[in-house]
Amino acid sequence: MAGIPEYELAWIGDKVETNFNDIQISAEDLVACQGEIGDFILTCNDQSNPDKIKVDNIIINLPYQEEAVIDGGVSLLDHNYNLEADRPAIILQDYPDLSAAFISREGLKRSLEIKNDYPDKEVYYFYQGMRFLEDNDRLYEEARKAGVVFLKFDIGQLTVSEDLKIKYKREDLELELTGTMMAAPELKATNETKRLAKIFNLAEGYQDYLQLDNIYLQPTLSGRRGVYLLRGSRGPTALTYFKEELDFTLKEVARNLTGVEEIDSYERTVDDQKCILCYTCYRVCPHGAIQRDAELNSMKVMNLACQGCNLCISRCPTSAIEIDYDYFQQKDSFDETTLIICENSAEIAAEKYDSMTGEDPLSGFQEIVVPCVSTVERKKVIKLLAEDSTDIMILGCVAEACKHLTGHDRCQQVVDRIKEDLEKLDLNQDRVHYKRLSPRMAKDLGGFLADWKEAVIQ
Amino acid sequence: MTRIGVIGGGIAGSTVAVELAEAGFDVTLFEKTDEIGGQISEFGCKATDICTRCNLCLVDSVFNQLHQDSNIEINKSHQVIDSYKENDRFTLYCEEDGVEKVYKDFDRIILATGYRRWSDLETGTPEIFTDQRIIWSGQFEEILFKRRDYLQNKDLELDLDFKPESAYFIQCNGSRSPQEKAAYCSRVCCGYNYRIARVLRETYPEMEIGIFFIDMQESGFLTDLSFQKLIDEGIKYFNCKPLRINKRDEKIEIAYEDQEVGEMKKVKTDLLVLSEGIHPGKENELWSKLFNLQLNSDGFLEEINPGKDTGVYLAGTVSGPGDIATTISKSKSVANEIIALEKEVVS
Repeated sequence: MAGIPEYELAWIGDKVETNFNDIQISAEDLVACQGEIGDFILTCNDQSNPDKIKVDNIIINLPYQEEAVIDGGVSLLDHNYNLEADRPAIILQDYPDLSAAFISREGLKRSLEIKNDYPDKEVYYFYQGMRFLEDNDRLYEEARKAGVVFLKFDIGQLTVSEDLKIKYKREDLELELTGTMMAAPELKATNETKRLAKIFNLAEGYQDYLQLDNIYLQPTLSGRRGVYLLRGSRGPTALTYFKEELDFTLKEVARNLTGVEEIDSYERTVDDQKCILCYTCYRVCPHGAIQRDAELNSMKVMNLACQGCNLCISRCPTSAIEIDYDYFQQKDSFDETTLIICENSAEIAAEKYDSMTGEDPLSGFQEIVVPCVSTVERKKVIKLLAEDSTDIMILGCVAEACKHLTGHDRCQQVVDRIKEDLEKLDLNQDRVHYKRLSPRMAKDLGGFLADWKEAVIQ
Repeated sequence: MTRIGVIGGGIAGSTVAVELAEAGFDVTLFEKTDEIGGQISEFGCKATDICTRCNLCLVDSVFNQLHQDSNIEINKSHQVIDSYKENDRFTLYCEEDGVEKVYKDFDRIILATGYRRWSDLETGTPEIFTDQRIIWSGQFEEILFKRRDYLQNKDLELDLDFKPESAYFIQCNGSRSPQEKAAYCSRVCCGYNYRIARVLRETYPEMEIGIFFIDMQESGFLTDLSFQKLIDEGIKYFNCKPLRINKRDEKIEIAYEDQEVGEMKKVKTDLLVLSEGIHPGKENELWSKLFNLQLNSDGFLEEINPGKDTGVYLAGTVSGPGDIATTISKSKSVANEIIALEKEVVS
């Protein structure tokens, strides 16, 4: 589309200075996001920005919402503070539970700052555990030398009353203190995260953060390609490694700008005659790879964003989405036991076993490799059972190995449904077996399949 | 075509190699031992009834890809001993079974030689630690590695001739101690021993478990530990480092100072698990000389000039302690940096 300003990178929330051609959009102003990596179209409701913007990559970098743990105290992260004269300064972290390492650094800096400005001021520092990162060690040492009183407390040893009086009780020491209380706030996700999850079609994580625990290994990746999560959008511990995370993300953005490739060579097409625009595919896609094609008035699969799990195909109520490859075509013999295996766990484990021992654990079985077991259609499994006399073993993933966010859970559901179907048809359920694997379990897989082969043959 | 030399065949080196080879670079990997995989290949799954997110799951696909990729030349048993730079190209001198070999024309070098465990240091292990009841966390990995598929058989094969009734963990062994020349925090042990404690709790529900901390640290990207969680799991914790470890009869006695009461106390335990600090690799000093890198006060490597100027990059724990996720992310970002840079040059 002509006339739309183009940028390499969009910051949703706070901006960090970079060499990219970037733009900052506030989270409240963002209305919609369409397209895929390298070609996102953002719609904004904002006076200062044009209403449509084309960007290649998106970084969601939201602040945290601070929640005071003590009413009336000063937040430790608040840089404008007034110290009461003649009364000590009290820094309180890890109350009621451990604070992040970032807080330790802020607290140590604050205590040094106070000691620097008012050398005679008494400074008490209450903590449960001092967290170390970068130069916290040095700050801690300096603070001790400067005369900050560090008092470590255990759960239950410290209470703060309503009039901001600290009671600290140890067997050898009992303290009651009042003063300028600077307490570490609890960090929470902002209210915008839920809305952003909808706009970007991302999975919601725990405590209203956007990040799901098992989104691959790199922590700043979201489920959607080209969308990255930092700080307040990612979780309470994201501040600890913020510098590193920012570094990974910016380097990946730089790489993306040199071009991105599709995940596999198969073509997934939506038949616009069959599509009824029910948005089922849009909702189930873990990678935000489906959007509506306004011209054809049907849904469409975005090739670059697609991670190849085929969940949309298996869930489409009208079978409108098609792929030019049949995973079940691999089958050519009808005598051997069929294994339906996930390419993210069992296949990797099998390859590993092969390279470890030199023998293929899958030999003697008929293997069907699928990108995600949860996409296996029940009718295909039942067809297999009808054609063969042998058993079917389904090998799915454990939680962490799943590359499609919740595939491991859905996989279990699919197997349960197959078994239900068989029960209704009054057929033998025991012919369908199910195991969860991690790619780590090469030896287990080899040993188990060998045992099972023996058992099946008998 | 850009030629890349990767030194070190652990997870860091392999990740970089696979990422770069996928992007079309010509990668040569040097590994000093006769097997690819490094220390991570000995690690075992730490799942209990649920996944504890140790991140091991996604490691093997990297190694499989490494073996399958035709753009990668793997040289096992190659110890890099010298390097020479001329016209911005590196020549590496390697030793294979005492024979010197020369590899020429590398545009970029990636150092991914990893770390050493405390128990691997040359300083020797104190005699007290050579006891079957005292387990290094490294040894525990072997136990976990041997463990059969936890979905079918949850048995933990501890190499013991008795059933342990109690287990205690000691944190910060070989780190955060200036005497050990390791004043830094190793960043992995807190999360690590917490996972092991949970495996033990699952295997032996009645077991008495305790952990000695200096402080609890945040370890890695994906874990958030708290004392409350330990209480919920029924794990005792002590905010101190033990003063003395003695062998008494059948049990091991740990003497510690109870800071709450301010006096010496003792606990007896059947098993003692020692965390292992991450120490800088043996070759770091050599690399700092060969490639003009800064050796920081802890012995890890730092870049003096950025990699895009020198052609030398650091990946993984060679530049500081980190867990699996950190290592892989760091390595990926090195690969991404090179890809972005090279493609820019081409276009």
